[in-house]
Amino acid sequence: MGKVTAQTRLANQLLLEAIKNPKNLPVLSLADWELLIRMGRRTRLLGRLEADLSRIGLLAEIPSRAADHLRAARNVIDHRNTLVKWEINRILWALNGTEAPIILLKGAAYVQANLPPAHGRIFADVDLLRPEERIEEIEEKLSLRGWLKMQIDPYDDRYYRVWMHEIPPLRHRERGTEIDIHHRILPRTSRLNSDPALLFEAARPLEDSRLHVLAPADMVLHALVHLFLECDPREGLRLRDLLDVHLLFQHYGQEQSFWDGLTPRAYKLGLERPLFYGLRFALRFFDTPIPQTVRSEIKNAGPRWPMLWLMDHLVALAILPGHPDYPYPWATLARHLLYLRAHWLKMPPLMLARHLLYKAYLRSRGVRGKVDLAKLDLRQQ
Amino acid sequence: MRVGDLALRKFKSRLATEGLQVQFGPFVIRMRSDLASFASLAHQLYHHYPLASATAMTDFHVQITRPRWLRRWLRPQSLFTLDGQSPFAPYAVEHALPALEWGINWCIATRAHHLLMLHAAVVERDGQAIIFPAWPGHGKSTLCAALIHSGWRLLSDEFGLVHPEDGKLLPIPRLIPLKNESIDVIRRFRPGAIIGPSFFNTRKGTVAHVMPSEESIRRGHEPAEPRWLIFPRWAAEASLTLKPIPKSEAFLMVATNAFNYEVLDNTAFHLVTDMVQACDCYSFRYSNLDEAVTALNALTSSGHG
Amino acid sequence: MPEEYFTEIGTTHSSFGLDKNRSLVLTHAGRELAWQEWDDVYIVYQPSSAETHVFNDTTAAVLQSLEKDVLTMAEIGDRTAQWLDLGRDELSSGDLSFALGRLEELGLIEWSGTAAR
Repeated sequence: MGKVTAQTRLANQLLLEAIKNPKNLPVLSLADWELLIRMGRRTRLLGRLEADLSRIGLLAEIPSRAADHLRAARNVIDHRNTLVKWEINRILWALNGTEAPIILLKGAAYVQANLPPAHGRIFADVDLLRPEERIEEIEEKLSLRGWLKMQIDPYDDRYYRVWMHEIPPLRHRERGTEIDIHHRILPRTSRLNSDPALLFEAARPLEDSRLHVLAPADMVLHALVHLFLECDPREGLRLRDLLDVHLLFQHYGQEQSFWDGLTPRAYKLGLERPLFYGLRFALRFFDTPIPQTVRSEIKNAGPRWPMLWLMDHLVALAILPGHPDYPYPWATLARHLLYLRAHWLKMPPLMLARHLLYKAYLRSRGVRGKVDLAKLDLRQQ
Repeated sequence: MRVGDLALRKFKSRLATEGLQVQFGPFVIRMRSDLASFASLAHQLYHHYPLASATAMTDFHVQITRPRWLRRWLRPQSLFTLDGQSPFAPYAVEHALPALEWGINWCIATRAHHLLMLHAAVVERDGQAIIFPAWPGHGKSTLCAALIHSGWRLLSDEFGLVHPEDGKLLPIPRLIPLKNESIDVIRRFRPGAIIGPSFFNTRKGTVAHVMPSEESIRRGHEPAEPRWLIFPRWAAEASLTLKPIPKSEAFLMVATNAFNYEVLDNTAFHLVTDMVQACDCYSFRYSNLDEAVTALNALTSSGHG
Repeated sequence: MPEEYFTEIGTTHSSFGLDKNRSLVLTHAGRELAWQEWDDVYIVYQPSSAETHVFNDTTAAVLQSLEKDVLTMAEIGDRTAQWLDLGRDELSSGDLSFALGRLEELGLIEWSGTAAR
C-alpha cells in the first residue's frame, strides 16, 4: 500500500500542477506527459490543458504526440460548443414571441457568455431555467418546432415530474443535443431549500436580451450545487466541475463587489454550506485567490469538526483521479460515500432508499450495465 | 526490434509484468496480459510489428486479463481494460485476441480525433491508394485481404486515417478480421496467406485474422495519396461490374459512414470534398476474387482510370 | 425529403403562405455556407451548426437569389424560376414553399424584421 499511496500522490500532484501552472508544461519529461495524458483523459481535462497552452502560446513547445491528444480533445470541444450555440439559436427561433427571458444555465451559459469554463471542456446538453408555471408554454412551442420528449421509463418520468427540479429532457428529431428545462436548481425534495424566485430577479441579460444568465454569485453557487449534488458513483466528484468553480471565482473575483456580495447571497439562498466547501476545496487544490474577509465570513457555515475532517479526506480521495496503474481502494469507497451523501441531500430517506433500490435493480438486470464490445458500433461513440 | 525478435518466454513475462509497447501505425499501444494462451497467439500474429523504443510515449494502455472477482471461478473470462477501466462486458477467455483487437479499435475510434477517421479499407501501390468504404456485409475485408496478397500494400482494413494537414492517408496495418465463409474464401484464394486460428461463436460469428505482410508493417509510416474510391459489394454468382458513380453520391457514402466526420466540422467537409474530387469513384460488384483483383489491377494500371 | 415532412413544415407550423408580401433575408448562418456542386447536387456545409446538407437545384437557387437582396416570396419564386430556366408557372408553389420552410428551419433564412442573429 505504501507504493500505491506514493504513486497516487505523485500522479495527483502532476495533474494539479499542470492545471495551476501550464507555463511549466514544456519541461515535462515524456514519461510525465504520458501519465498526464492518461489522467487528463480520465478526468476529461485534456481540453483544459490544450486551451491553457494555446492561450499562453506554448502549444508548439510540447512533444508532438502529446499535442495530438490535446488537439483531439480540442476538436471534440470545438464541435460540441458549436452544437450548444446552435441549439440556443434554434431555441430562440422556436420560441419567437415568447415573453419572459430564457435563463441559460451551466455549459450553455458559459459558452454563450464566453466565460472561462467554456474554453476547454465539453458540455453535452443545453440547460435552461424557466419559472415553473411557464414551462408548459415553451415545452409546447418546442414540440411544435420539431423537438421530441425523450423516451424514458415511467418511473423516471414520474421521478422527474414529481420530485425533480427539471422536466424530462427534450431532443430535436434531427439534432442530437439534449435540452434540460429546469424550474429550480435543486430538487423539490432537497434538504437545501432554495427559493428559485430570487434567481430570476437577479439574472443578467446577455447581448441578445432574450437570453439571460444567472448573476455572478448565483452562477457560482449553482456550479457548486452541481458539483456536490450531481456526482456519480464511479467518478465521484468531478474535478472539472470544481475547476469551473475556480475559474468563475477568478473571473468574477476581479471585481471586489463580487466577493462582498457572495457570502450574504449564499445565506439568502440557503447555499452557505456548498459555498463553504467550494471555497475550501478550490483554495486547497487550485490556490484560488480568495480574500481573507470572505474566508472569515464563511467560517461558521462549515460543519463541526469530525464531519469537516471526514469531508476533507473524502473529497480529496474522490475528486483526484490517482494513478491509473495503482488503483486506490479507498478512493472507490469515498466516491460511493459522496454519491450517497449527494442523494441524502436531495431526497428524504425513504424515498432515497426506494430510488437507490430501483437503480440497483436496473443494474442487476443489465439495463444500464456494460456494453458489448463486439456489437458496439464504433461510429456511435 | 520486432515482437518476433523476442523469445516467447521473454515476450510472455514482459506481457505479464510491465507490458509491451507495440507500434500500430501512428499509435503506440502498451499491452499487458496474464493470459498464457493469449500470449502465445499474440507472439505469432504480432510477429512483424515493431516494438516502440522504451522512451516512446504510449498512446493507450490496454490490458486483456482475467477479471479479478467472482466470475473467474465460474467460467474463465477475459476482460479488456483501458487505463484500468473497463467499459465492456467480459469475453470467453479463448476469445482474448479478438477482444483485444476490438478494444484497440474502440480506443482509436473514440479518441483519435486529431485525424479524420473514415470507416474503410485502404490499399496502396506506387504511392496511390484505393479506398474501400465499409458497408456492413459488403465484404471490404475479403477484397482487401485478397489485394494485399496480390501485390498491394495494406494501409488499413478498418480505419482510413486522413491526415488533416495534407489529406494523405496514414497507414495503420492491423490484423484483418475475416468473418465466417470469408475465411475459407481467402484460404482457397491464397493458400500461403497466414491466417490465425478461427474463433468460433464470438458475438460476430466465426472470426479469423489475416496477418499483413512484413512489408506492409515495415512501411507503416509511409502515407499514400487517395486516388480511387471504390464501393465494393460481393454477391454470389454476380457478374463483375465496375461502374462510375456520381461524386455527390460518393461524398455522402464516405461522410455518413466515417467514424468522426461530424466531429471535425469544417475540416472534415473540406478533406472529404477534396478526396472525392481527387478520386475516380466506382461501384464494384463481384463474385470471384481472381476476377475482382484482375479488374482492379486493370483499372488502376490504365493511367486515367 | 419525405412527404409527411413537407406537410408538417409547409402547412401546419410554418408561417409561409400567410403573408406573401413580407420579405425574407439570409441569416448570418446563411451567409457563411461552404458549397460543393457536383452535377446539380449541392453539398453544403453550415459552419454555425456543423451540419452538412444536400440541396437540390431549387433550394440552392433560393439561397442564391437571397444572396444580394431582401425578397418577397413572389420575387424569390421569379428569380428561382429564372435561375432554373423554368417558366414562372413551371415552378410548383409546393416545391418553393417546402424549400423555404426547410431553409427557415435550418436557420439559413428568416423573415425580415424578426430578430436577426
